[in-house]
Amino acid sequence: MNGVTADEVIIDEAAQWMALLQSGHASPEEHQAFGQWSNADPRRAEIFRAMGAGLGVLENDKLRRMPRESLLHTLNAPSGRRRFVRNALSLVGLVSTAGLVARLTDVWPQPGLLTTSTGERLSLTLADGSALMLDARSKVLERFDQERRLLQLLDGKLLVDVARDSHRPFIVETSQGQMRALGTRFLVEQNDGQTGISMLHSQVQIRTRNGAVQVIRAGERAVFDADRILELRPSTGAESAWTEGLLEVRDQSLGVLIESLRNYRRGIIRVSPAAENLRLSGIFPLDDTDRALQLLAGSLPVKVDYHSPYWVSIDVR
Amino acid sequence: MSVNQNLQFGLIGQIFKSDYGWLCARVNRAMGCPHGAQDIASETFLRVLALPDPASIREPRALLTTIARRLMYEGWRRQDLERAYLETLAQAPLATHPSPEERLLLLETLAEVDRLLDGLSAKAKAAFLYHQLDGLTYMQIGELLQVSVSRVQQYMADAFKRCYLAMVQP
Repeated sequence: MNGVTADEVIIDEAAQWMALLQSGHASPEEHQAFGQWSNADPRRAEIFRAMGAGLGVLENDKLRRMPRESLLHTLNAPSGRRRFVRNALSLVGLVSTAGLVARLTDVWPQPGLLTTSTGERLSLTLADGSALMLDARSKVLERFDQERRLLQLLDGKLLVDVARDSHRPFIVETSQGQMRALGTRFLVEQNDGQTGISMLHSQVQIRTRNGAVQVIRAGERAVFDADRILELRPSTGAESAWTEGLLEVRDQSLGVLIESLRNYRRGIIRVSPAAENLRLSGIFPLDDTDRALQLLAGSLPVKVDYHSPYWVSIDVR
Repeated sequence: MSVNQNLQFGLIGQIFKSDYGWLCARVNRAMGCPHGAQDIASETFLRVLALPDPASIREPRALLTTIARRLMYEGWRRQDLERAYLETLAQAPLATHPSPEERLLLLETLAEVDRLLDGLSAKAKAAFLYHQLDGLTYMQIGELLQVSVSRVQQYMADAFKRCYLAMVQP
């Protein structure tokens, strides 16, 4: 498992080096730094070599002769699969039978699956009129039928403003349990084997996977795992900051803050172990992560080094 | 045929016997077309046969599912590409149209390039191809696409990473 994670980092770094070296504008110092990077670990050199070597398909003559406009138009063809997902959202009635086959961990192409990538928030109206907002790097599966409106949060965070429907309860499900509502507005996030829920309006009943039940009301926040409710306290309001494009932290470690920022920033952010445990409070803009990094450098004794715009390291000053 | 190959075919034969029907049914449920499902299931087994070390397969059904799912996506994507390609042909003078065989070969190549660059933005794809096929500098690409040079460099990094991942996870 460690090897996989290490490879991920090396691949990111190798791609940054490749792009820099192919620009033809790398300075002698940068060439030297690349030499050091690549010599420090044989796996780095290996991945870097493979990255440059495997593009043989681009040597194809027919491809090279193809007019660029025509080539780009073809490669940018909209994907039928994505269209399929969109159609499925408007034809919820047809989706219900698929629910018999699909399970939470299922790997089949699933109609109704919505995902967001880095730095992307998605707002949309569901078939029943409920408003759904997804945070960056989140994944949710919409499974509505005659009896109930089910959203499975597979990853990340969501905010839902539930449209009233007295016949079909609205349920958000995570690996840890279910949250059931009639008409209400609440936030859910899932990570590290825990689910957090913050109520903005009305109330919701939580049923954990193993059967613990708890009702939470507007202004409250609960955290639970599959077995039990771990935490129940008044909500600080910070949980909903992302819906406004902000990240609000109160006495949290820099490491935790950077983890949240990663969902919004492409490229590499390295935090030294010494800097990771520094604590801070503040409000940071998610959609301008350069500014966020600048702000935290102002409020903590750290320095932020830009190796390139997309490769940042943070260490204590 | 070597002993080793015999062993491989034996193993896959077992998987085929126990799981072919299951796979057909599953793909059919997802696609809603029994003939297409049989094609996909057969092609899936051909791909399994081409694996370097079938003896290491621990969960055949998970593997079959993964390969079949990928084939479904590839098939749909190929139709999308073909449609878009025909659109561009419709605007070109008839004399420049390639023959059906040439067209087929080109589509194979386009599908491979599409797989390598899948998930990149339109601008990142354009930047990468202008650089790799036409040898434009980052500055020229930046002017063409109306973005900064550092943005072009990041497009290149994204593309190198994506291609690498597509190559090591065939």
